[in-house]
Amino acid sequence: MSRWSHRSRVVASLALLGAGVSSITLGVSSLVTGQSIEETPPPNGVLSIDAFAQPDGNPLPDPDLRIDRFGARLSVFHQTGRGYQSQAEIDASGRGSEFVFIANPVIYTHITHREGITHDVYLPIDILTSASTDALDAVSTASRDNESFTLDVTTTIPDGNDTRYFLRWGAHVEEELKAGNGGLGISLDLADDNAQLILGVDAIVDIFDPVQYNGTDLGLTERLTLSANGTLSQLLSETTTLAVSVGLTGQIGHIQTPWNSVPLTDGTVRDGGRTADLFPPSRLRAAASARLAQAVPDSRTYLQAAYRLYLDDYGVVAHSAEGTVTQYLTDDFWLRGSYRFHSQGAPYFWANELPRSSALRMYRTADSDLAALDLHEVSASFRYFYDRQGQPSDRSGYVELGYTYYGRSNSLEIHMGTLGFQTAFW
Amino acid sequence: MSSRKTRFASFVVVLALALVALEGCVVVPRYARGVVSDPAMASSDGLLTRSIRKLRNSREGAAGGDGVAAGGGCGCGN
Repeated sequence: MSRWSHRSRVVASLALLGAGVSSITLGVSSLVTGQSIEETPPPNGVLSIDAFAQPDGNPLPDPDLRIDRFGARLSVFHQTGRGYQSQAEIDASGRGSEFVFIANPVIYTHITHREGITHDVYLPIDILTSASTDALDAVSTASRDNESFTLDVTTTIPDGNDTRYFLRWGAHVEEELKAGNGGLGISLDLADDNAQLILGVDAIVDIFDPVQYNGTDLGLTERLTLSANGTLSQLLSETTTLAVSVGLTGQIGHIQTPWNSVPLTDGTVRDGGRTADLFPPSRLRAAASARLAQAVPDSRTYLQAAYRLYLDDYGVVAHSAEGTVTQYLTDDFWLRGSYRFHSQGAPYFWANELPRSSALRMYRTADSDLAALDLHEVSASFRYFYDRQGQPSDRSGYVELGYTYYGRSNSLEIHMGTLGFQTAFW
Repeated sequence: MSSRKTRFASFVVVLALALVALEGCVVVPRYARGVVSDPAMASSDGLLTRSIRKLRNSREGAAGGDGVAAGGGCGCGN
């Protein structure tokens, strides 16, 4: 496999991102060739192809497919930490490095058909550099350098004024793993559009090569994930909304992370050996959440509070609470801050080390992501609406800059920076 | 009471509280929904939400269970 330097790959992806923006812009411009937007004010403040006449005076026909909105965001993650599952640069405590740097550009576009069918298309790319596990890198670079590409599409089909059907589909490719997903959903507007009920089911199939911590290649294996979800949103007043969600996810197949491992002991002290993670062959997860949003129109302040409860049959129980404050400083500029606290328990088979004599007979993991932990997440962002056409909406053009700190009680820390924009054509 | 029953009871209580909260709803006419349609009231925010969700789903063993893919894609096994 050819190796680009990390920097050159980041530059290349940014160039591709820029090329994508240029091509979309050129495509839209060609729709109105020969016409000046400034010379022909759009009706009702909305840019429409019907606003432009053909030479014979008749309006141009609606295109069968049009790009309504386009957006892009670049997020970078810088992670440090120590975990017993890692073999990279093991310290005196027996924990290896969890260093990873990820650049994650995402392109988004909203496309509409003539019949009102819409497509929300996301194209995320991950470029990852992490601490190396030497044995694994003898046969794979998946733990050290990796790139992944994802296509995620939601197609919405309206059926009357109050019903919409969703089709979700996509694919994901990265070294050692390929995945495909599909799903169906329905959205119902209820009580004169004061409430909305969304129900959906999704399936994901992962096919991957579970290269072990010591380089052993077990051949292709798979994992199936099925999810069912329901969300009810309700207007409680002219300034208050509530959304309640419940969901169930079931997984079967090879669930554990292939290259993770657990340190072994001779009964009292570590003997330098390790054994691969082993999970039960299925996992059932359930979650329920509620989110309350309150607007304070006089000060243009928007408050959100959320709570989430998570349970699964591995014995993990988790609670998350989150608060968000958004303050408009001017009509075009907002400042947003949020805080989240998350506390989770460990699966019944988590251990930071196991005796060699019994380890192979039991389910096991030392993964720090699955350990009992508390975490604090703090975010701040600034958004400038450069094209809001009246009150800001999800169709407004904006640019946004954000930062998130994510710190766990078991030493992992992540700093995430993000820069994004959206522009609307229709 | 066993821990399993306690967890199930917690789940039911959350659902019950949510349903009770919905009972007192009023009907808000369309012309009065300007404030709640502001993007600052939205529960998710497209691209930004994806970035945050990616961070959480790949780093928390308690991700998923809410209809969002968990364990797919990144190979992290969560």
